[in-house]
Amino acid sequence: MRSSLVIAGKEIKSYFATPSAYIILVLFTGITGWFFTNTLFIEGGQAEMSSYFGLTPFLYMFIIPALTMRSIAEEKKTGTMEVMTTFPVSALSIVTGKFLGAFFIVILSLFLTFPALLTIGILGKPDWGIVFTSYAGLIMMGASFTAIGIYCSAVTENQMIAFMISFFIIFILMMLDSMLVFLPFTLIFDYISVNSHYHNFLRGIIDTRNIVYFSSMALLFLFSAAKSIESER
Amino acid sequence: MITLTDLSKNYGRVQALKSVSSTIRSGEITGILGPNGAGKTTLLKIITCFIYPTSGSVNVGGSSVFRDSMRIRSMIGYLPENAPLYSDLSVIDYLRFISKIRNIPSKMISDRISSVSDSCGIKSVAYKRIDALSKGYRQRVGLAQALIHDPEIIILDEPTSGLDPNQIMEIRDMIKQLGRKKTMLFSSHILQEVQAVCDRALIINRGEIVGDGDPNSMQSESSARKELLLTVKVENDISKKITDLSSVNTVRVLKKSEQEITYLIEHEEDIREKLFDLCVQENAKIIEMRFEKHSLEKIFRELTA
Repeated sequence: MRSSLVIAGKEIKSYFATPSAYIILVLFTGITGWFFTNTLFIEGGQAEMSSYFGLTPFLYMFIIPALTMRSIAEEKKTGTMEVMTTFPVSALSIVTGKFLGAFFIVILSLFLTFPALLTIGILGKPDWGIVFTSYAGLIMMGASFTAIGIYCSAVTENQMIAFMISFFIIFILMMLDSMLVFLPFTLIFDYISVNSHYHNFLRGIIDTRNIVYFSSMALLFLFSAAKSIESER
Repeated sequence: MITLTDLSKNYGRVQALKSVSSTIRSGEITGILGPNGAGKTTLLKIITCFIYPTSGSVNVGGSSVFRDSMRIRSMIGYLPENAPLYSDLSVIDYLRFISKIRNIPSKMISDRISSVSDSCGIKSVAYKRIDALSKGYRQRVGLAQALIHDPEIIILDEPTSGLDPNQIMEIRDMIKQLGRKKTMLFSSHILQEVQAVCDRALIINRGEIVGDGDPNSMQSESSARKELLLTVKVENDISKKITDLSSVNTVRVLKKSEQEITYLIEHEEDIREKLFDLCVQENAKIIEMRFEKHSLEKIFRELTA
């Protein structure tokens, strides 16, 4: 765990050493902020952030793959992964460190939406319970998407391929619930779909099934990423 | 001590190592020599636990790469070819990161960093970003990375490739100095380097060890088959006359200018006096006469042909 934190620290430093983290944070807060203020005054005077919570998963679909695509793929390409794997550190610790580093940026992007919270807090009386659970849902979803991104970055040396694969996986997971009518075994696909779990959070419900879904998804992809690194040895 | 037993590694159908067995003793500088693609890097990658062998075993200081790789990894300092580094960090941040991940107690980190920065000569660039460094400095930062935890075993893969002659000399000196206290293993395709630095050379070709020993004794053994180099100032070619001398096998003209001819004479017994007499008789003035010592290069070419 200690070495994971060391790696996470280094990752965060690297994100801010290049423009990548800044670009992603600015894009994220810019786009969500614009949609939030756009609907703020026209929709029947409600103090709520549903536009924001509806939009963020779609932004995640682009932003999280962009954030994670280089994390392992680039290290493999430049050869620093070779140095890393000859340190007394397990593959799982490396993957966990990479995950925590990227996840920190995701959390930070959510944190930067506080002006929206302030606005609705000052202008009206929002239902703080729903706001809180929706944020929890976004955090859970962000964690599982970041794990998907890390996994895709671990299976290739090419950042672009890592981006495409993780975008595709996230896209399928998000679109699954609207395609259910065409699919057999509806119950299974409904369970796999991200939205059916996320919507509970938006309704203010914290259900262990949804928490188990997101955390098992994150763990599954992180373990697979570690296995993939191990298998290359 | 590193023991390699029947070590093989296949990449798909390509066999990079074919049942290699050897022992690398502690406190020695061992050079692994071979043409490009001979299996040097593969061998080093297996010892450093980066890849597993397909069959056979490696034992480093009593631990097996299969069962106890974490212990081996903490004993080894490794610099892969081309010194891969995190280019977006500064040198000091990079070394701090390595120290932490190498589990160096936090109180000792700054001491260790300043000591390796001293010995690798990177004090002046400590706060520069790594992508702003020249190739020579990058190599030194890589070396500092390999030394930071004061490992018992140091493994360097082609540490001098791509450097200019001065930088090569510096890195070689560093290897020699470190080799006094540590077990040092490095690969190279440059023969003079191995000859200049190593106590022992392992020559690898096509995944097999084809030569093993002290590079200097390898050289004298090989020159047992005697060759004499003779340069004379003479008007007519005397190679026929030399061939007629007893115990001369072959005579080759190496170089011929208007006045001077250089012969390479392969012989059994010492023929220097006879040759002198012959030259006097033929009015040939001897400019140079010496035994041709086989360079490691020649041995290398013979072994890896």
